[in-house]
Amino acid sequence: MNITEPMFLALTALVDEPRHGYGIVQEVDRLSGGRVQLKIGSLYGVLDRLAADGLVELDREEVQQGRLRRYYRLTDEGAEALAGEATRLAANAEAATARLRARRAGPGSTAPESTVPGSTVPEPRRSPTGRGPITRPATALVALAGSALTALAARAAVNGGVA
Amino acid sequence: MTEPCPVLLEQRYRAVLRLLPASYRAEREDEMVAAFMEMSGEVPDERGPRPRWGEIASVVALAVRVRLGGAGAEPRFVAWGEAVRLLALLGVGFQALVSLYSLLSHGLSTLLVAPPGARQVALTLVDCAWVAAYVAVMRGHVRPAKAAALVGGGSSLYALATGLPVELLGWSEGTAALIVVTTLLALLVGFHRDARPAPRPWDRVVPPLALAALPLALELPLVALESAMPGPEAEPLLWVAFWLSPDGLAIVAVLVAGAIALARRRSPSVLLALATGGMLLAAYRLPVGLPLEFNQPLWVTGVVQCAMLAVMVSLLLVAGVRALPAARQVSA
Repeated sequence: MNITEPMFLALTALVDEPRHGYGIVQEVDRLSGGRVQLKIGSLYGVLDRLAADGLVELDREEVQQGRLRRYYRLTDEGAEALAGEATRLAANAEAATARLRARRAGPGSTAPESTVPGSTVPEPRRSPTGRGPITRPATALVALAGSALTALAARAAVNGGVA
Repeated sequence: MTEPCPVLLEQRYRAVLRLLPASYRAEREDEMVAAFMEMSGEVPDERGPRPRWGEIASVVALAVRVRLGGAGAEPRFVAWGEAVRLLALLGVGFQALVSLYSLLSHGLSTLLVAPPGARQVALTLVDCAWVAAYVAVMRGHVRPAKAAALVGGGSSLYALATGLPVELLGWSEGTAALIVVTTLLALLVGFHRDARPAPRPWDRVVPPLALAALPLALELPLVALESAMPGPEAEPLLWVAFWLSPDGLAIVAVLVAGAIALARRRSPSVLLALATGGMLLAAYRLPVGLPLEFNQPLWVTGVVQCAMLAVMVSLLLVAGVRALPAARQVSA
């Protein structure tokens, strides 16, 4: 199933408690820092899609000041789908962060392998020797050493060979 | 002094929501109005509050999706959505075949007679964006298909608008433009977020494109015979020429497909899509059936084709509308 950003944010808005239409709009606005502002027509398009897929369902109805409020809640399937999507996005973000870190470290360094999007929860990355997880300073040191070696090799090539 | 209870904005929101189908409104209207009113705050009537354009646009988009088989839509709207998507596929396929036919014709005339003008070649090449649109939509890639169709459609409309001096543009150009615009609209609105097409295998996507060579293969011997015969003796050939052009073959295809769909009691979507395609082709053929310029083979063929299409379209429409799932009853 393709979960769009508005769907993802609407599901997230329902994690802690059931919410009614305008409540979801407000929570999505808050969650996205004002970047995603759902229009009412779009909200009901999203809710129709989520309800058709069994990810949300009606919780209760209330009448407040003569106006109908329908509250929606996250189903177990919805929570599962949201968790899967969150894992996928986290893996993407991790891959991007690792590559950016390697880029900042210099051209001689190699980026750590990225996690395949859509895979299950990634295990903590181990060092090639298997002694423990790679920490950020360690990656930076390896990258630094890599670029130093590259520079040395380049200078040696210009001077006619490594002494 | 208390402010009067604002009702104007609510009335205006309810008016906008009339764009939605009655069955959807019966279920959602009060809830949506409440959400709208909470979002806009209770603005007094004196300020003349109106729904914002963005809100109206979002309701229009929702109305289109619901009416064309969006998530949770009732079976009648699902059938309408399928009909529109099928019409889009028929239209894009037809435009792809016509553009390939033009390309082949130009290639052939370059080899046998003389190369066509640069403008003609350029327009034909851009027109081939329809082929890309056809392949993309058949493979399930909706966005690239829409983009390519917009390029192909723009090129087709430009060619129609500039092919003749303005005073000579007439019914044929208008109806050809209508076919292009209908195809584009059906593609753009039919394949919405909730209606992604399943990708078809390549062996079902590519072979239909070979049909573009069919009208050319059928026309070639006819042209050769016509050029070998003196004028009056070649007249009988005109009786068949109008059936062998791409639009003539499209008419035959709609008649045959319509007959099969009626005999096999296909779904209402198939019947309605074929009926709409047939209507557009009949409208395109209509001026040929009018004896404006007395050319017996031409207008008799035009009359026969229009009459056959009229009968087939009527049958398809009646059967299609009857086969549609019943609309959900809305209690008053």
